This record gives sequence, structure tokens and C-alpha cells, in this order.
Amino acid sequence: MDNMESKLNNLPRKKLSRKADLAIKLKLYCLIWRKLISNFEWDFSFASLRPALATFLILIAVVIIPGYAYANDNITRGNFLYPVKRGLENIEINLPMPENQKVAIYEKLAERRLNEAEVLADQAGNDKPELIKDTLAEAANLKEKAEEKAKNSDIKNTIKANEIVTKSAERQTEKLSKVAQKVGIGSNDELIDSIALALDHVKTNKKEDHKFYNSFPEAEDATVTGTSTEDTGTGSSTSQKSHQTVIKKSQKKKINLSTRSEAERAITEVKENVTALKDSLTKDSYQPEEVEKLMDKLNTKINRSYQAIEENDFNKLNGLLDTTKALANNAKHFIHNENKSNNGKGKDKGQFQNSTSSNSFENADKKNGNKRNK
Amino acid sequence: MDAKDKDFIENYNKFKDKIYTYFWYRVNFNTALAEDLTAEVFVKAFKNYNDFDTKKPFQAWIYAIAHNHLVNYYRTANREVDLEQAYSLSINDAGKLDAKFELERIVAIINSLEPYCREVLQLRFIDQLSNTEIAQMLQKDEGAIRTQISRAMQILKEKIKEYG
Repeated sequence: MDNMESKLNNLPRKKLSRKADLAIKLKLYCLIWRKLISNFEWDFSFASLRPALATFLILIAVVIIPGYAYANDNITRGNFLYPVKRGLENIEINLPMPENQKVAIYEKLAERRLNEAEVLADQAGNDKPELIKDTLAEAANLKEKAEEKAKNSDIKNTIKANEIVTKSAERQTEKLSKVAQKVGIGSNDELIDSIALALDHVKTNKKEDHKFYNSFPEAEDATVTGTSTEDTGTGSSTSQKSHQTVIKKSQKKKINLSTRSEAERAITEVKENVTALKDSLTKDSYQPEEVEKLMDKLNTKINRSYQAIEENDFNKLNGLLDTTKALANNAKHFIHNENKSNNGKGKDKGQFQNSTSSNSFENADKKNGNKRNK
Repeated sequence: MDAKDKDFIENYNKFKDKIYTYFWYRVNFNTALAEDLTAEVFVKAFKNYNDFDTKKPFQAWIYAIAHNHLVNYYRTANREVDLEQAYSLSINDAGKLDAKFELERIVAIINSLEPYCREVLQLRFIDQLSNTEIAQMLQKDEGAIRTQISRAMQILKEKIKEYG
């Protein structure tokens, strides 16, 4: 029996041929592949898509929305994405980089603020002057930082940095001019003053309007002023603050009258120049209604300047004179030329600044300044 | 490929030769047919592998499938005849293989035994299954299988003596 069992246990065992083995394996792998395909189709259910959906949403939240907000000038103050935009800008500013690049970034951001101001002027117009004023104040801040960085650059980089500042100033003047045109002379006084002062400040960098300010004694610590707290009653405390910032930026080297006689003489000069400006504007075929509005605003400021003298409030007076001169200097940005609108194309913005009226006004100031210096 | 698929492929590599041998001995040593049946069994097993309880032995399960597949193969009207013929021809075929070899002769004699004897002997000695595995596969009691194997061995001895 044991012998039989051992014989039976030694019966031959066959091995599957390699060819057959491969054929079977191929069949099995095909089945596995089919199963995977069918599972993959089944995985399109909502539950299985949740991780993909979550990834997609995170991608939107982290990359696409901030990217969209950062690159879009239409995202302005008041928009819910605006803080995201500003946050990214802060990161950009704080990145370590050479001073030259910092200057370029500050200038780029200042231009971006001006673009936003333009968009706001387009969208909200005169309904939300505070937003435009705040945006302009931001632009002024950034511009000042750019200038500081340019000053602090080493000798090698100063020329390059100043080139950046000057080129940016040209573009910014154009942008501010657009904002002024969109806002118009009929707008809120504070807003007009902000734009006019910003224009003056930017043009200082272009070295076109130095003459005007050089005619007055310099005052590094000039305090703020009359018009910033003028009683239009429309601005919030924030916007008033930002308005003051704009004025402060543009006033650093400006008027600081401290005696009654000086003040009266300055007002008289301004008054004469305003009259000259009116003649010039009328002669240049600017829209009479707008010229009238402009004159009303300037005359109101002059009258209030007299009041300030009566009240011995020289800070207010200095502010009023600043804004009056800024508005007069940049009057043509706010009003429309009839010929220009009829022809459908206007003069280059630079021409505003070179026009007879502006030059006469500034030259008159220069003369007066020289007299005072003597 | 998930873990279960990998597990199945591992089991295939482990049992492919055994299942092939199982068929080879039962289809009259027809290599091609044994290969086809082996392939069909593993495909069938793969399709049903999700229902397989991995705690149970794979060997018993795959042999059960092979056994059922073979039964189905011979169950069709034409093949029933073939099945009988296959077993009756076994002795002659054994001669073809070379009757001089005792083991082959024994196989031929096993194939000529009654089905219940033939089955247990093949499973025990050719497929090298344990009594327990045979019992699981044939769904019988282990003791009964032991008795059946003992009786089948006795009959086989008598037959060998008979065929000289």
C-alpha cells in the first residue's frame, strides 16, 4: 500500500507552457484594465470629485482671484477684492530688492492708484468724491516714497532712479489730467483741490512748475491748512485726512505767509492773475459756462482768503492760496475747450501747461517772488 | 491595479501549474485543451474574485471552480459521450504514451475506475490535495473522504493486479 502511495505521489506534474501562461496573463490584465476603466467612470460621481473640486476652489482662492484682483485696475476702493489687491502690493513692496527697483515699484503703484481714480471718476463720477480723494492721497503717498527712495539711492543709481521718477511723472500727469477732465469743474471743491494739488506735485517732478513755488519762501514744516478743512461738509473724516495728506505733500516747499501785508499783497497778485486767466480762457474758446464756474470757485477762495486775514488764521490762508494757485495753474485740465470738442481731437496735454495763461500766471508769481526776495 | 488584483495575480502564479495539471490528467492529456480550460477557469475566478472570502484558502476555491468547469465542459450532450469515451480511451492512450511506464499505466487505470474512486485518487495523488481540501471541494465529511480514498486504493490495487 505504501509502495502504491509513493508511486502515485510521483505521478508527473505538468507545467503550463510559457506561451499559454502569457496568454492567460494578458487576458487577466485586460480584465484588470477594463475594471479600472469602469471604476474611473464611476469615480465621476460628486463624492469622488470632491477632492478635485476642493483643489480647484483652493486654486481659485489662492491664485486666480488674487491674480485677477492684483492685475485689474477696475478693482477700486470699495470693492471687496481691494484689500486682497493691496495685500499683494504690500508683499511686492516688502520683497528684498535694489533701491532702483523699489522706486519703480512705488511709481508703478502710484500710477495704478491714478488708474483706479480714473475708473472711479468714470464709474461713480461726482457721487463718491471721497473714494477718489482717498485714492489720490494713496497715490501721493506712494509717489513721495518713490521720491524718497530715489533721493536715498547711491550716486550710481540716483540718475537711473530720477529717470524713473521723471518718466512716471509724465504718465501720471496724463492720468491726473484724465481724472480732472472726467470729474469736471462742477465737482466737489475738495476733490478738485486734491486733483489740482496732485497735478502740481507731479508736475514739480517734471520740473515744469518749479518757478511757481520757488517764488515763495520755503517752509519744510508747513502745517496744514485752510482748504483741507473747508466747510463743504461732504467729506468724511478719512477723506479729509487724505485730502490733508495731498495738500501736505504738495505744500512742503510752498507758501508760508505770516504777516498781514505779505498776505494782502499775495492775494492781490493771485486776484490779478485769476483775472488774466479768465481773459486767456475766454480768448482760447473754453466753454463759457465752465469758465464761469471756475472763476466762481477761484473768487470764492480769494474772498475766503480775505476772511482768513481778518481772522488772523494764516494757516488757513496759506492753504487757500495754495489750492487757489494749484487750481489756476491746472484750470485747463478741468474745463473743456469748445474748439477741441468740436474738432473731436484736442491739443496734447503738455500744451495746457505751456499755454499763455498758465505761463503768465506763473511768471507773475515769479516776479512777485523775486520782489519779495529782494 | 488594486491590492485584490495583485493578490489574484500572485495566486495565479502559484496555482497555474496545478490547475493545468488537474485538467491535463482529466482531458486525456490534451495539452491545448488543458491550457484553454486553465485559462477559462482563471478568467472565471478573476471575475468572481470580489465575492471570494480571502480568509478562506484560495486553493480549495480555485479547485472547486476548476472541478465545476470541467463538469460543465463535459455536461453538454456531445461532451457527455466524450467524457465517457475519454475515460474508456484512457487505457489505450496510456498505451500510446508508452505503457512501459508504470506510472502512466497507473494513471490509465485510475481513469478507468468508478467516478467516485477516480475523483478522490486524482485529487489526493495527482493534485496533491489534503483530505481536508478534498472534503471542502467535494463538500463531504473529511472522514468519509479518508474512507473513500482507502477504498479507492484497494480497488486500484485489485485493478492493477487484474491488468497485470
